[in-house]
Amino acid sequence: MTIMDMSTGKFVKCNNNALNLLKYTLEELLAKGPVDLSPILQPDGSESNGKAIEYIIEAMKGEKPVFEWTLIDAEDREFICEIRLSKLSGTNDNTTMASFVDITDRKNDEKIREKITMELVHRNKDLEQFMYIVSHNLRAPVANIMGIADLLQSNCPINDESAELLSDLTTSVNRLDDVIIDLSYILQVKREVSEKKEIVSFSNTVENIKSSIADLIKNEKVDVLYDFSAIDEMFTLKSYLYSAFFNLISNSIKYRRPDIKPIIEITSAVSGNKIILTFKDNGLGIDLEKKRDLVFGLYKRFHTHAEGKGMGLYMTKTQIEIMGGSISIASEVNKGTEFRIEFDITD
Amino acid sequence: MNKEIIPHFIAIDDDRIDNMICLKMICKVLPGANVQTFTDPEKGLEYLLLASSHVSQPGIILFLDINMPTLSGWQVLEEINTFPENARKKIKTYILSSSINPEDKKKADNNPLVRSFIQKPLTRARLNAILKDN
Repeated sequence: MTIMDMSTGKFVKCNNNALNLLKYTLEELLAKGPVDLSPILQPDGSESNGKAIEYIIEAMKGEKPVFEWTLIDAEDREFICEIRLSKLSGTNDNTTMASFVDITDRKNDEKIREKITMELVHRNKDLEQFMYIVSHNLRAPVANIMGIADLLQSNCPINDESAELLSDLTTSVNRLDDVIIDLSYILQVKREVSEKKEIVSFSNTVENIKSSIADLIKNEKVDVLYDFSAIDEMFTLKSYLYSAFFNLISNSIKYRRPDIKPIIEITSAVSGNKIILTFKDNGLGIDLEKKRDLVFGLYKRFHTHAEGKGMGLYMTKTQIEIMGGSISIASEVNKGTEFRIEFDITD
Repeated sequence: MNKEIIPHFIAIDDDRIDNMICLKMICKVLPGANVQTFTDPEKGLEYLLLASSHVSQPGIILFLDINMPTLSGWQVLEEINTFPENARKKIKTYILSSSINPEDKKKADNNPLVRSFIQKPLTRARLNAILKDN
């Protein structure tokens, strides 16, 4: 902290903190004014002298300007301070008080953060570009191969060895095409959150899903029970919520235990400012000891008997995260699986 | 479909292999069909205008690619839009693209000149569906 006399442009008082910060002795500092401690130009390109006067005039008018300022200490080190200026009330009309806080570290941290952010934005763009190339430039030749295989297939006499090879080739290229389509779909989901949020009802969502897979539910005698009495709606992306619910419900049916009646219980709860949804089934379960890290990974599958590409839980997690939530799993082999979804209550 | 009025097929696609697949598949399904393929959209357009303006021409099925270096499929459609009405009306355009971007399909569905969006490759099943539609 220092006190300046505006008639002389010099400091008239200062405390030890100011001396420590500026590394001058008291006598040295009292022989100087603010302009002597500043470089000719401030980082924004303005002249220190003119700008300092502007702030001082402001302070003399009774305002309390707060600003960033580059200073030079006795050892010629430049550093950035936050300065608060104010007119000293009562005494001499020509004195202002200035307090300094060294914010060099904070400014450096800001710079580093900015740099990291820029790098991340850059990498993200690169990744998008890469995915775009995968979905376009890779899909075109794959479509060629599929077309040619299709043509060759109608040329081949049955029982020919090449017919068998051709059929395998077709299977392989179709699989490759599926991967490309999946990748491009994921990219789309992550990028296109153009959809508007709206109030979505949990019970309506479950009912819609139940009627869309009514045959499956009837054939496998599945009980889909729900209790949303604690909370039945949230402000979110309707199609994402539907898709996440759909994946969890259909996963439970897919990985049911064949010997017992499949039961899926879905409940909601409010805890603090969070909505908690749980999806609990009595299905096959997953051995989480070994596979916890893989459950939500892309192309990870844990059962070979049922159809599945290993996309479902990956997409579910992605969609829930886009909606601002998180998902976790608890499971025991041959007991069942429980998914827990948490959303912050917004507004 | 009526055997006597086999439509005239035109494919405009900068990818030679796609044009070959298109040609062979049509000839397999409809032996003796008239198929013209163009890797240069400008030349394709020239031919398209000529063929569709011909009085005795019953109808043309156009397979049109989207991503081409000189003229995009969308630009080709803009050109077709400037054709005289009686010529334009004979052209049934199908976008045939390897794109899996839903935006491209949406754009095709919203264009009144486009019958539908077909995902490459042109398979026997897809071609038969188109022929049923004509």
